[in-house]
Amino acid sequence: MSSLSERQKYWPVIESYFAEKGLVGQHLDSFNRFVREELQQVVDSVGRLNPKVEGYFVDLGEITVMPPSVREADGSEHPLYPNEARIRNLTYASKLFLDMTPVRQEGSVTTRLETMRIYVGDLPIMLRSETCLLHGMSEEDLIKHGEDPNDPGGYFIINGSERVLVTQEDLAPNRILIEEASKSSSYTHIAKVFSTSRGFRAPVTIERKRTGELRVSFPSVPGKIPLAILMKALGLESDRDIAEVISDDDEIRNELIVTIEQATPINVMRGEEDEETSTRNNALDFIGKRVAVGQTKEYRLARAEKVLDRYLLPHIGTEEHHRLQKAYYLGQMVERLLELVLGKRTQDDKDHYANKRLKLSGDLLMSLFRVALYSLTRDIKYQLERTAVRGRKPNIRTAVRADVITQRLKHALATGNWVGGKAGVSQLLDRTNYISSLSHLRRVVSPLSRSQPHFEARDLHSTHWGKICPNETPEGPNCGLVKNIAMMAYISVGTGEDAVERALYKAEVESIEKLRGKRGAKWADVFLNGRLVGIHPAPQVLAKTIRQKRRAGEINEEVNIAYYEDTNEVQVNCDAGRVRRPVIVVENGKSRLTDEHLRMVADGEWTFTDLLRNGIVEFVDAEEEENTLIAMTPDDIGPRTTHLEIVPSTILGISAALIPFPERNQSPRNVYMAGMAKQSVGVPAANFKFRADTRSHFFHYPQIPIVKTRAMDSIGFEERPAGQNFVVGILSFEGYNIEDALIMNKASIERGLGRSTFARVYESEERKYPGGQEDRFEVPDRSVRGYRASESYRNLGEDGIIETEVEVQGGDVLIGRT
Amino acid sequence: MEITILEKTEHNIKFILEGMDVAFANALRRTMLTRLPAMAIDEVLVIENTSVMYDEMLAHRLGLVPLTTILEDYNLPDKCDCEGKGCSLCQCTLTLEKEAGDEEIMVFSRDLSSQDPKVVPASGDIPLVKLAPHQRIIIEAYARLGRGVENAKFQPVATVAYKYVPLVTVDKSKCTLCGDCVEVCPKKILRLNGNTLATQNTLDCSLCEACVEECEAGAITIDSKPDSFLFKVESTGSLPPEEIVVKSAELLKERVQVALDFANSL
Repeated sequence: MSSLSERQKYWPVIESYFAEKGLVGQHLDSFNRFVREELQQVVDSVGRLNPKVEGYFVDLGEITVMPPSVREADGSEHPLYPNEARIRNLTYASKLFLDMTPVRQEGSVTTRLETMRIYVGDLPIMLRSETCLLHGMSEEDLIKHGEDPNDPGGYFIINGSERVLVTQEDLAPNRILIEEASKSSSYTHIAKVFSTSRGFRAPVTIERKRTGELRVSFPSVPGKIPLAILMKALGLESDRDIAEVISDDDEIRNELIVTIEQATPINVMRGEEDEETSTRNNALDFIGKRVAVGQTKEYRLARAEKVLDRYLLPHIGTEEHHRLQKAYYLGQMVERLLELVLGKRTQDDKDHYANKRLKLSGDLLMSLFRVALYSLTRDIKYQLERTAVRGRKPNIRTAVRADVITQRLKHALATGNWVGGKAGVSQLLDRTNYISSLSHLRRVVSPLSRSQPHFEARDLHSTHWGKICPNETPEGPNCGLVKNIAMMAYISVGTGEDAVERALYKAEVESIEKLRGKRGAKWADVFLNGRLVGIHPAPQVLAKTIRQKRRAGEINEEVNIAYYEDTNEVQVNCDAGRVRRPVIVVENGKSRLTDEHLRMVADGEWTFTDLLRNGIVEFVDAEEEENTLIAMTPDDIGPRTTHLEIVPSTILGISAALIPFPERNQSPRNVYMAGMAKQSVGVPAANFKFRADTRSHFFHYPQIPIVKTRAMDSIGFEERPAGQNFVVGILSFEGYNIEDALIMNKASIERGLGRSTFARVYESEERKYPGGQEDRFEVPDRSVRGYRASESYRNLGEDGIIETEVEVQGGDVLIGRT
Repeated sequence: MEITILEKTEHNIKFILEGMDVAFANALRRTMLTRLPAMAIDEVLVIENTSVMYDEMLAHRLGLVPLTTILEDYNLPDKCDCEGKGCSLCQCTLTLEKEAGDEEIMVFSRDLSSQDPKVVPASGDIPLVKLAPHQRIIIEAYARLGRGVENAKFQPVATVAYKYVPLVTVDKSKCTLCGDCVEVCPKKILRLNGNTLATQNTLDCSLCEACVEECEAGAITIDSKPDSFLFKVESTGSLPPEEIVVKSAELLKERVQVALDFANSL
């Protein structure tokens, strides 16, 4: 066992990591990416407004986010700082401006009119993000603006209340999951994929019936279609083509006989084809008869093609030329399914963290904004059409109602009711103490219903190591469904697929398009974000080169690669939402992090990014971790070790990291402590004097714990402490201590032990009612209806509002409104 | 009853009480803690407070400041002619006025100025509140006599503790002079003196019996003297320690007399 100082020496690395990313870096990065890129992408996906007005349409251009501001009742506008928003119950939001170009078309002549920058709505801004006014401010400036410099940010202010968008856990999209079915169901095995593209989620399933036939189901087509017919509709007309796309293994091909035979009724003999009848057309018509019942054949075919393009595996593409690729993808699914049937492969583990993706605030806002923008475009079109019908000239400036987006965003954030019927997405930030706020910002919830048991989903999985805290989860119905990310866990924000794909081809991956779907069994399949991109003869070498390129900085640091020996396939990932954690790279039995590096990090010469850039530390996701051998301490490094843990105790979350010697406790005790740490009264924020939370507690004499953990220093717990060190005597004292009861020393309480202040807000407003009635704040007159004893009004000031620093009792009047 | 004073400083006193049982020793201890009156600030009028500290918190801190007390000068409010309303016979006014300039300052207990020069903070170094630039406090505080039963701030003592007087005996015939007991003793009671095991400062012995456990030969016995107690009294500074003991003993006597009178009247 290495000495204590040896085990503790890597902490400066962790501190440099926190210094760079902050404790809620995932939210900030996700929101920054949303504002910088995804906002524009959503606008571009709409592109053009086509109202039903003759020769008139509108092109959408660049979208701009202004600094947060507020518009007063008198029409004046000024920059809005977060604390003003908190106190005045405002929304901390920025104005969005969208470039719109009306285009007139007369015959073949199109004239682009002047581009107009139009205010389309307000976007709530995440505190401390790049758009936030507090971004990059010095400590003194933050204090000047009424902020706590240690506040992590990462939340929104909606109508004065701080709201967190809780990270949502989801099954990974665009990944094939194969499963055995229960005995009672009508099928034996099933392959499932949640194809997701631009917020549209299209589940595709392939089922294997007891007879051996394979049937596919996908959205907008009722019922299930035989696989062979679908493949033929996609362009693989001969049975041979289908078989080749699936596998060259005879055993697997054997399994296909029943499926292929199902398609015989629609087959057309070679040479018998004409314009009307071909195998492909027959197959399309088979689908067409389901989606467009009772229509003409022409319409049916067109409709079937449209359905295939739009609703079948939309993540591959929605154009005509993507159809073959979709067929290859289906072939891949079938191969996996049949391998499972033949026992050549095991079921996919749904709870493996490689099969999970986390949706951060940026992703959630994107899906919300998309819906908001769609309803705005609908509204604009409606407004334009109305003016056109009245015979006036259409004018977009008057047609845009900024309220549509503003209200949509604000309402969802204020209530937590998200698009797609999810509730509880946005929650009021827990300000019990500093730790509870941090922990709230690092929470992950699983959408699985809490009424069903789901035992496996609640279990701690080995892949949670270093990503999800093993102890911090609520007890009771939400146990294991609400989780918290570990100290060093970081969630990927995603990078462009194209660059990675190019790097793969450069590393001698044979493109799937060139092979026309025919994959041999010998070469390994290469997947990029769950999509088959090609095959490679030496997958180990491929994985090694890609890793080397990543360490050298030639490809993005966010790319992870894993090779599965048992199934001979390579998974490359660069999408958003993967939980990743940093580890030290070990090469030839030696840690790449030398003492010299450590010194530079400790002295502040190097930042965490420098370590990352120099390939000393790298992030691994759950998938790549399957290929690693990570040593717990430097002493454990052996010849086959690939990585070294930075500090093993970072497998814990923020809350569990406060427990001294957790490894010596019974595990449920750690769970209870992690829960109770979030309930202890402390100093919630240093700006408590300038806050008006509806309820808040403030501890008079908080103390630094006598027994502390190293992580407390990194988190900054001692700057915003909670709790006191109690001297306790444990003895029965004639049974007064039964069931955790305790006797406290009266004198110690009188001396200030456990003293705290509780503050709460009472609100009222003067209103004007229709019919001339008006509210007024005053000391009520005797004649007022509902007049209480004059005693109750004794502390009211002349303005009808309670005076400061007076003692009040229950039943006293605080605001005299008449 | 016999009292031997071992040590006396400004705030502390150590003495041996002999010829009394535990019940009496504890009664004396509790009298000192809860019955002997002392001055403390009990009511605070906050005229101005622009510091970050809430008025309630500041008042609580002021209450805990120990004040020097002359028991004869003041009446307990319930025994005062004013019937507890507060008069110059049972109350003393202290004022605190402080404003920070361009630098932040700390307000200490010495900044309290008293109406009665005999009732002042026992220590001037107690920090009360930190004032940021241009913050100000103006406070009028009323001190009165009170007892520890009512609130801990009226206790004239910080620590009152007693223990049995230790008796350390070494059976020289059994002692092997191994010296293990010397090593293990946390209070350094035992000493090897040539070829005898000697004892020193036996009053320091904490009766932990580590030496007894260590001694294989069974040469050491630790016992305690019956009916004698080693007292340690630590004053908060409000009263001199010897006065605390004497006045408490008197009070205890009075109270016992009251109980006896009551018992006899039955």
